[in-house]
Amino acid sequence: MIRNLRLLWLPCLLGLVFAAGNSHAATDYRDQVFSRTLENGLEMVLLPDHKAPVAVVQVWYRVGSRNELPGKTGLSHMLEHMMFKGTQRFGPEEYSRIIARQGGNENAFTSADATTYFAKLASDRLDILLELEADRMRGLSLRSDQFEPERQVVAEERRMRVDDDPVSYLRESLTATAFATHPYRQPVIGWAPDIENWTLEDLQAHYDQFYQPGNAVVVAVGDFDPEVLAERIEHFFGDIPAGPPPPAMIIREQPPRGPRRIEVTRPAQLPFVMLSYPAPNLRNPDYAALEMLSVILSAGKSSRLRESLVREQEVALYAGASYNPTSVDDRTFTFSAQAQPQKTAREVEASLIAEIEKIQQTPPTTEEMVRARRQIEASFVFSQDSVFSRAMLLGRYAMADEWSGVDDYLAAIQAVTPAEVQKAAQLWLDPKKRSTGILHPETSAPASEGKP
Amino acid sequence: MSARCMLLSALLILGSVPHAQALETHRHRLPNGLRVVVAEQKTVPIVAINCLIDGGARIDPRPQPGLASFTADLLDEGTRDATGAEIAREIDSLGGSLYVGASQDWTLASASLLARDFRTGLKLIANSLRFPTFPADEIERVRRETLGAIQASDENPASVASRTFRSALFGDTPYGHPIIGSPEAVRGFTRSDVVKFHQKNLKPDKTICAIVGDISPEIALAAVKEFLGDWSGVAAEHGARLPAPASARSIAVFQPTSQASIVIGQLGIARDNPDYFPLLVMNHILGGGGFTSRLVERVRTREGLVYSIFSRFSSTRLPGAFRVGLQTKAESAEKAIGLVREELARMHEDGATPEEIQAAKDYLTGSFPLRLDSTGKLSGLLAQIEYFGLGADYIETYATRVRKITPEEIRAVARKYLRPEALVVITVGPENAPTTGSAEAP
Repeated sequence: MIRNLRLLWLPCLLGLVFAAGNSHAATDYRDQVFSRTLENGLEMVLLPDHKAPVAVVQVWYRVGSRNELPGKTGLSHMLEHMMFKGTQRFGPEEYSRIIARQGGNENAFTSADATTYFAKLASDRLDILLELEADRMRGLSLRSDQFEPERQVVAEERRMRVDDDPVSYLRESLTATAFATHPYRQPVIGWAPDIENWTLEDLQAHYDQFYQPGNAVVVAVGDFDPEVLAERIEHFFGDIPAGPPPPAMIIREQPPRGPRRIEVTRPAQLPFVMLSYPAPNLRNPDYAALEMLSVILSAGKSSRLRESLVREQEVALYAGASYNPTSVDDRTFTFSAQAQPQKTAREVEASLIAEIEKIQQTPPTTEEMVRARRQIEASFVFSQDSVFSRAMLLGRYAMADEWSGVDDYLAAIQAVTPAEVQKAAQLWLDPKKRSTGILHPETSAPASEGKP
Repeated sequence: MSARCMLLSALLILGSVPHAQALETHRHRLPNGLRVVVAEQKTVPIVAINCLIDGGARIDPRPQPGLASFTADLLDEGTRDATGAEIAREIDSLGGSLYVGASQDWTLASASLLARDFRTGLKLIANSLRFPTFPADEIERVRRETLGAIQASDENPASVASRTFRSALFGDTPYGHPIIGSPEAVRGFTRSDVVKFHQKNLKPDKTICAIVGDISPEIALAAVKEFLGDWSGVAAEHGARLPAPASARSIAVFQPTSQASIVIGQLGIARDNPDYFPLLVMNHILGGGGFTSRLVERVRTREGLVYSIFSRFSSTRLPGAFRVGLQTKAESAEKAIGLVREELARMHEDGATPEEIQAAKDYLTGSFPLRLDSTGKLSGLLAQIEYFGLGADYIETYATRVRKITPEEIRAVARKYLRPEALVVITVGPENAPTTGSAEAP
């Protein structure tokens, strides 16, 4: 969830790969990153990158829908919106106005695991940004005259993103089905009744619990001297008291006791199918094989799912797989496909399952392995073109584990064998643990324009 | 090297940011008319190629909306040298990406590659533009996918609103139909239609290739000559049919959603209009400026009616659209439309305050370098500068041109271009009578 659609941050930006530590690009983040932790617990991860006179600064808080209780879902995302509504020192929206005057682009986004505030601006103007971020880390002033309209904004955001978007609606429904006990079942934006029920006190408690220096990481990438920047960060953030540590959340999802299925009917044009399997995060060595699996199945125009479902069988308009190992807790490996007109959800589902069974029965070819590795390596090189992408990579690793874990990724990818990809598919894509989501279009009169 | 190739080599300085690196661009025109812009950037070992050919959906034959897009989608589905599947495997095995497609004004063939694969990528683009084979089975497959995509777009209220708006504003003039076309037209395209469209319109004299990345201008130009230098022919010319300014009108389309998706707008400007810069600043203040714009402040921040609201002048060769887009729960639609009308009228009447203008200038000049900080962004921008004829000094002079705008100019363009009395208002949502599928109100 981001604060505004038009300043796009694509969650799938790094969905393909989280590559790093590339041998031929001779890039090793451990050698280039300057990292330090202040006495109050604030961690900083600073990567100099001098290709343009700009820098991106991201403040990551370890709080998202994963940290929310039933009845209060969506609080983290709502708090993200309220972080722009003023502090004891600055008025509502003042943050945005000040950064805009500096020629900066700013926004924020919330996920299940983290809430992130970011700005990109000329690298000689970082002081004002650091001052504003340090100020709102503990100085937020939550006011009801700001809160009520913003609650309505979020309600509109939910209508637009989920209720009126049949594929998002299906995804939300499937996620709530695939997890029984883990809060990953909850939507980041919150359930509609919860949005109506939050109080200002809820927000204040959430803020006090999670917006503490020891629960945050400042990631910066750009044209700066990291030692100088570290001093500036200490200057602005160093006096913030450590605060109480946030409650430890040790949560493990109960393994599914059998396959699950949810079928929703919504105003829509075409059937849509999603399959979700429990999958480990990067603390399990299988993650590298699962990454290769997702690239072989889904990356590029020659990937298996596209070749088979879209090009050969012509059952789907689109077919893909997604897996993100940088989650705090174990999450999912997911398939999705949209039916072509005149094709049924059953046909699409059967075709997806046939592709899964195929790779469970026969390991990928050497050619596929070479191609997938090349795609991963190249996408790492491409990601270096953007300071924002590099900061995202470091931040996501910092949330999931340690930022330095990024350097182990490519070696792990390179070591994966075809047999390991096959074995990972057998082990993790287990039909007994599968959750299936189907969107059935409810066909009303199709949208039609006024007659000229 | 042929002497005719070397037209210009300009040294541009990004004026508004300290310690900016110089951006050196090299421009050439080949004897066949193809224009090339190259900027060497050694920072990351990658290269971005953007080749755009004038004439997208704008030049669709009148009874065949969508033909430019359909033709473009087929360019990499089979060439003299390789099948579509082989091309896909080749680009994937380089870890790169290749895109072909049409927009309103142009057909685009672009690629992102590791620098060492530059020649392979350029050759794939050249073959797609010059030697597509349009195999019958691929035509049928792309036809099915296109029909599916048109149907899928009906799920999206914003896309239905946008399509309805375009049709109301532009009628049967070049921007009046969706780029992807209509189901009826797409069903009727024959292979011969596609072949003819390609032969008539995709020609070197209408082509601009921007190449940015870790590649020397000499090597880039040599490769362009090798793969595109003996491409010949001259594209057909197309007359420009311009729409009459629409009068005020409201159109409601039924869709069983919880929100109304609304587009409010009128005719805008062509990209080369001399009033572009004052309009840019004016629109930034009105609704182009993210969280600091008047529309966001009024309709979102103060009233809580929307999550997203913006205003925009489209950048097009012929006069395009000015539009405000928003979504709000059905009950709030009327109120939100009223607020937008008020804000448009206020800008039309009073223009903007000196403080607002200064803030807009600070943002636009300060953030301009952020639009040039990656290989892909720079390549796209250079191609468009060339396409719209914005001048070799566009990047260099951008900040100066923004800074010199006066409040009087803002007021003048607001008066001249915003027409609150003649707005086209499209509402897609649940409150609109579903009985006929559509209803028209005065």
